[in-house]
Amino acid sequence: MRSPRFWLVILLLAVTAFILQSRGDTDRIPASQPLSQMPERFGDWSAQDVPLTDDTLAVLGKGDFLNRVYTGQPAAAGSPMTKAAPISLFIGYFASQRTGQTMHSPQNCLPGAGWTFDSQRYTSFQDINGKQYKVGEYVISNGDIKQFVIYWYQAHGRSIPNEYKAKLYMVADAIRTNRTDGALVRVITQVLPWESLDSARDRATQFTQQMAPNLPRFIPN
Amino acid sequence: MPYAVDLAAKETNPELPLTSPSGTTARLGWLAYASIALLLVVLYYRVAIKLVYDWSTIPDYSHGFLVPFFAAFLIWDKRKVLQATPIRQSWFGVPLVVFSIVVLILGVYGVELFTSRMSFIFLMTGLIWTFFGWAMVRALRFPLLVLVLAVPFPAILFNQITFPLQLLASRIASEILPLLGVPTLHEGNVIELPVMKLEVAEACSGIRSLMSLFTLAVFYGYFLERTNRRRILLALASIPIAVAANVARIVGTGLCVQYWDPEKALGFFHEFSGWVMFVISLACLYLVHRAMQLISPAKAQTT
Repeated sequence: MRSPRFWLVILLLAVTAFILQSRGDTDRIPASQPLSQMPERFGDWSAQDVPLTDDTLAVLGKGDFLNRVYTGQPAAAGSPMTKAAPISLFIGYFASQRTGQTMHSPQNCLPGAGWTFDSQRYTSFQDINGKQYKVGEYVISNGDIKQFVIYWYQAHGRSIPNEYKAKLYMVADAIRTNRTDGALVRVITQVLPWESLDSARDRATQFTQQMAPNLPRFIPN
Repeated sequence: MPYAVDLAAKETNPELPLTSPSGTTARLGWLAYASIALLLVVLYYRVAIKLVYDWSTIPDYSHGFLVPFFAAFLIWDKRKVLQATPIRQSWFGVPLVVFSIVVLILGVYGVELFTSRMSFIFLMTGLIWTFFGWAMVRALRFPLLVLVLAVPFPAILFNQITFPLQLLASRIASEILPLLGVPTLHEGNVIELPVMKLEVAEACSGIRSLMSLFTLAVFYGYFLERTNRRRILLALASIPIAVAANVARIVGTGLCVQYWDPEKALGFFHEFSGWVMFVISLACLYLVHRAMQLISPAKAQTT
């Protein structure tokens, strides 16, 4: 018991125990509305829910999920060519990721479902209120079908396209604010055989710009 | 509270290296060890409860229960060497102790399970280094490393390895099935059989049993091989074995769907992720081991 090393170690461990005890083991979870209250109409787009199967829900884990297809009105009477492909919106919100719950990365799930990534880039856009979003844009294909995908991780008012960065911010935010909530927002639309990639991108972007201002209600800042 | 026992096992297990060498003057008294052990319990009980909970709820990590026992066995097995190892307290271990504590605090505050769990292994190493010296750390390096096997790897990184393997398994299986008269269409990990789809919900995950299999291969290699080179080979063999077992699982289910009863096939498919997989993998491991012995027979008494 005379060893100075012993006393130093005891001191270190005791201080650590104190530091750990002073922090509870529950997150601060800010109030948010259930995703089902997402508006069913954005401009010309109207929604239809696509229920997730129990299997899928089990794999996704403990969170709130929105899986919807927004279809464009047979818009602007006349020109049949304006009938655009529908847009699928998926949002997975996790109020707490403390239990080791991690969001499924589309980088795995899309290839797992048979899609290959043709191109990807990080970009940003402004929603209709002028708020800046940093997102990833991807073109995926499966056989002859091509889709344009926008997704990003949204947490505490921050949008991040990269999953590792999102994870690092989650850790940093957990340390600073004791919050581990976060969400994945994914918008997909098919690139129709007779349209250009740009037209699909425009469609997805315009939809996202209209939808994004709603996000803070469901994914608190 | 079924976890209490395991928790106790986990907490006392690392105590073994502290108490086993006896009769040396450099030892601390039992009270000193007891107080350190007590503080460790206070520091880690939450981490340990969550870890044991994960072992019991995530099937891919149920092997975690075996790991502390295996580590304890390794230590017991080495007791003669450990008793002969000279004890030299050292200040060099203290920086490692400090490092582990920082990792633990960051892990707990940052809600990063992997880092807070790993910090326990770092801390044990640091404590052994401080109170018993580097020679003891060297003597205990294998049991300390083995503990890593019980720590679930962060999914975000682990998927980088396991996901391509799962894709590979799906592809191979969908090549084999048509040869056996089962038409398939596969898209990524989703395999469409004439009457049903397989793996739909699991499409985004990799081979989840890889970690269990790797652990199994480490145990197997330790008990049945003498040299480290062969043990490492066996452990690495778990990767192709995991792929092969998954191929077998998909092909087996496909055959059942085609020639038997789709309803039962699905049950079989899920059963397959459990003990059947385990048996197949073990059989594969045995075959690989036999093949190794045939190709290069182990020479007696050489390393």
